[in-house]
Amino acid sequence: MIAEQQQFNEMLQDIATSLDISPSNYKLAIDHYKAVKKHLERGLYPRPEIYCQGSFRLGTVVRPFKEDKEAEYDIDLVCQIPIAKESTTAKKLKQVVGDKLKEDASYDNMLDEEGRRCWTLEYAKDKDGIGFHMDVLPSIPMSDSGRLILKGRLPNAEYYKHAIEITDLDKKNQVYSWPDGGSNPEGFAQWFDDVKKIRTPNYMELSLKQKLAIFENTLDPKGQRIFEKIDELEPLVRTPLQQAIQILKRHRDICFKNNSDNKPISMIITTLCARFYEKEPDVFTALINIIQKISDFAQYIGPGFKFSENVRESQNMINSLQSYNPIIDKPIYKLNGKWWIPNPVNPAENFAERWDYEKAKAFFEWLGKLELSFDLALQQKGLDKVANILRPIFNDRVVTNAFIKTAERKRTGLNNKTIKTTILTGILSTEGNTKNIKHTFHC
Amino acid sequence: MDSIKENLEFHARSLRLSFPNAECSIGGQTLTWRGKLTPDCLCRTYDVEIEYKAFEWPIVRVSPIGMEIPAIKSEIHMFKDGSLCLYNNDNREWNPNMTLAKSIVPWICEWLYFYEIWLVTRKWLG
Repeated sequence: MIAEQQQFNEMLQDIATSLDISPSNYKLAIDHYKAVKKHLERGLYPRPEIYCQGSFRLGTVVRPFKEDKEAEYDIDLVCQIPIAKESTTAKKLKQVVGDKLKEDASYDNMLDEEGRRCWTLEYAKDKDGIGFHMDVLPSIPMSDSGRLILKGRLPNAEYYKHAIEITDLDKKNQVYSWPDGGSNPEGFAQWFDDVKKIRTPNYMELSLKQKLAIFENTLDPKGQRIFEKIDELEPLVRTPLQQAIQILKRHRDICFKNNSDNKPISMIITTLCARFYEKEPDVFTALINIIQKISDFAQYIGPGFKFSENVRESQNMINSLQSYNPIIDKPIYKLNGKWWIPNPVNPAENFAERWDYEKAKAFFEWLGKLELSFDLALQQKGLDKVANILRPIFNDRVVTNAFIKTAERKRTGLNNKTIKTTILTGILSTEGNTKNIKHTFHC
Repeated sequence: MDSIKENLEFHARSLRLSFPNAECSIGGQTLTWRGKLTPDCLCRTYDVEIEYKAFEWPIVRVSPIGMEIPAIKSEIHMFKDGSLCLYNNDNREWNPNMTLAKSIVPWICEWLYFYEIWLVTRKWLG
């Protein structure tokens, strides 16, 4: 990486951290989660299994961006009651969980109108304006025969074991049903964890370093550590793969704010990033490579489609997209004119089910825009000019916070002499050759 | 008189050695250095001038072309006359025996970097 890219990479890391939930807010979210878990476990029979799913589970949390401003964090829980499908109905299952939540007066107050698949609890904002939405997803384990079908599709993996049945409410007709194929958030999360741990260079070292830093530096107002054990911080470790996903998700939220019909779903972003991530040691290179690999598929939009203003030749042209073979299981393919982005733990489920020409085009154009912004930012001379390119694509607060973090790191590096001045040019970096003498900007 | 000349020569030698591309001249009792400094690869390159009268506080100015300066200059550690405030005189953080090249110039680089950070965040984080 050239020096500009290295600096830019640090900024992207700081942007990802600014998008993320802070360790102290994570603690707050976990406390809310544990309370709901306890309440549901105590009151439902047979005792349900309660676990996190979605971005909290995957470590790809991004503060949502709705109606042109940052909104509450979403925490997604699965409430899985170990009963057979034959012994209940979708309506009954949904209502049992809803009724249990309503039994508690404060949860009853926090409950939103019934959702299609979930019950949503709204936690009031704290003094910093941080609030939470907690989605509780009623479910039951998938039947043995259902799991066998999933196993047949991915014979060498164990992910199928976590498949569940969920409920769906058709609000207009007030009809409840079990969606075909169920869902498998935990199987997907385990697949993602496997990819992350296998492909992140020196995962154990990176993870320990981050956990220690969070453990030591997250303090309450009295200066006491708020976490008791280092091990409980594993969900806060962020690899370049996770940060790449966080950056793409926020860029998507902003890019599609006036075009929500074509907004790519997070499952597509997460799946494709994990599939195309190949041991890149930093978020900048990871993002550039992932975008590059995805863009190769843009040719299937049709003749004349330009991925971005940058003229670039395809590197990994895939020729055999037409011959679908679920065993080969490609990340993206087109079959009989239909786009496919298969769920890695259930290749018969298509995350691109709703993709038509418009959606596919919007998806590739979006990635092209991000790549172009990065190219532009790297050509700037002036941190304020770099910031002006990043503000509209990530939002003001995030960019300002990221630059504060970058500056604080520079200050610390200068103080402990890891960052020095390069005589001849003046560049302050770890490559510098003259230690900066201690001083204070005084007036 | 000799000690003045000696002190100016002392500073000029190290400045010329460290920054062979910059201008460095001594006229009477004053050393003037004009060079270009870039504090970070994504930052601008600034024209910087140091004016040093032997045994006095060096005066540092940055070329103002296109620069945004707040109404209250001290917000960015700038004196009213537009020169930079780089250290604490009261604490003797700088004295004439410290080479300008290895004390003042690195501090100017810091100032330039944190000035650009100020442009983004409106906070002085130096």
